[in-house]
Amino acid sequence: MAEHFYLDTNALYAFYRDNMVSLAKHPNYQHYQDMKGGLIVRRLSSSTATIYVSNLTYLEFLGNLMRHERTQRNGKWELSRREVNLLRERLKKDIGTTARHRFRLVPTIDGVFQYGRALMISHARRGQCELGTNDALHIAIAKLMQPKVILVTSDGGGQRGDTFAKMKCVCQRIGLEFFDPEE
Amino acid sequence: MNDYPFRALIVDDEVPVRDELALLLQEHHFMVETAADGEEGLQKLLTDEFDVAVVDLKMPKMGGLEMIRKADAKEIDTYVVILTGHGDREDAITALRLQNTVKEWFDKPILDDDAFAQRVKEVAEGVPLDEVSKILSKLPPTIQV
Amino acid sequence: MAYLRDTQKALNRTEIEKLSYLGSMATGIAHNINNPINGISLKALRGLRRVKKGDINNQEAQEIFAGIMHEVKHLTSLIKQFQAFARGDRNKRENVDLNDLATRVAAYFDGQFQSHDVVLNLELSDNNPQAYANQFLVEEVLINLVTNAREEVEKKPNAAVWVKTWATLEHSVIQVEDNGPGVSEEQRLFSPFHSTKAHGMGLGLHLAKSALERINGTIFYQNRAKGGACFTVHLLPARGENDE
Repeated sequence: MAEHFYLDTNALYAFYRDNMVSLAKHPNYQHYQDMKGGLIVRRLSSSTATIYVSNLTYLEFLGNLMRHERTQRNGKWELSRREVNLLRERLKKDIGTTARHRFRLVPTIDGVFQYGRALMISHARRGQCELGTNDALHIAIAKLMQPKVILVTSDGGGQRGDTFAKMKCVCQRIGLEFFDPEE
Repeated sequence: MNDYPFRALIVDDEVPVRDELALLLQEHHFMVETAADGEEGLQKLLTDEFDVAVVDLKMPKMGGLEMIRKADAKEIDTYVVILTGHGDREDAITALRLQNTVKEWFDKPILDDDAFAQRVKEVAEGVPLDEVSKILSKLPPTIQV
Repeated sequence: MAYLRDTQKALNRTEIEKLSYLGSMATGIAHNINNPINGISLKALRGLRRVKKGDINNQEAQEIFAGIMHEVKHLTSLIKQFQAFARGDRNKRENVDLNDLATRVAAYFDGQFQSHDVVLNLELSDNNPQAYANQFLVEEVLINLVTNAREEVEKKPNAAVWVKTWATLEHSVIQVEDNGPGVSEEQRLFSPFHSTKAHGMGLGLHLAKSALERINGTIFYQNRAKGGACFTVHLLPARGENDE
């Protein structure tokens, strides 16, 4: 059965950074090995999967790149201009609205912010889930979009483990399928 | 997934060139479509379904350069390999410099089919994912948004 | 002695004319040669690929070789045309079918015109005009005029060239028109070294005129009514058998 996935910014980042190319290319997931990023995407390797990203994902990804281009560490720029341009070209080739694109761009959805507010009100109060603004938006997009998708994020090698749990918390409450590699 | 096969569009007014290059790229696991002139090529390019376009510069109705420019104006940034061979090498070099979707050019007649197919494949792929991974690996493993 | 000198002068002049036309023919030939060579190269490469893989079947091999031979024949015919043209006796006079000649020259230019986006229109008279002239010479003149015309119009929208033939009582006529900018300095048009082109074929029209005069023909220029250039060649009408 064809499955549909939605990647938030960290999932997209993990895809590119942790070289999950091999998964994307070869349907035989048994060859998959644990990736540093900690995100096991067995089901992503299925050739019938369609993977979505939103304009928010795209924007945040780019924003992250630009921040690294502006920042220095130990006297060197974290990303050179050339590297940023290469990454931009890669993104342009991969993200779009036709069948040839690796990641399908979700069209803008009405009511995303409204739903985000609703999430905050219903699930982010004292005693409920710890929900950040960005996560709220991604969850809202994933929940509202057509077709039905499975939300994918990355725990960044365990460094983001608690955020993972936070997102999972909300998704379970609203009945949004959440890709948890541990299951 | 859409990594494999790559989709190529061949735009050339010479029938044997179209047919033979289509065969050649198909042998290299491309899905191939063809067009006989710039107009037909532009129509197909605008669907944005191609990973790479192989384009002859001199064609009736609409030449290669004009077709590429028109596609670019509609934000179709399919990478292009151009074919030259009518004494239009200067046009080819201009195209390479001014049009950033043009990544390579080949003179006709093509004398090394393997090299040609290999190059078209590289252009179709774009920046290799390995290289992307290498660059990003210098950065922290998660994004602080 | 004087007789010898004159003959030599006449020969030299013919050689010069021939060489200058061969120049403009060469570009056309180069273009037409490319097409079959592209086909041959790619087909042969395909054959090599198959053989290297041990993957060639009889049917495909036949198809490849037959295809190559087809292009070889095409090339051979082009080369023969060129040779005949280069060697052709330009002193003989005979009846020349102008429609045939115009059709032949047009076919020769087909690829060039297409790839430069210029339309070539043939308007040939139903009366089958025949001229008493030298075939190669008239062909040269026509090639020269058509090449010039194409160069004048090629980058313009709706670029077109017309080749027309007809006969009157006094002349058999070929005319070449284009919808380009036309010519401003009409007086100097047929004088030697007049050329508005960067790659000067400055001798072209001058030689055309003197060559035609040798066979009692003329060439003159008018501005085309709707804009552009118009060159008209008048030739002697064909000789019937009774005239000999």
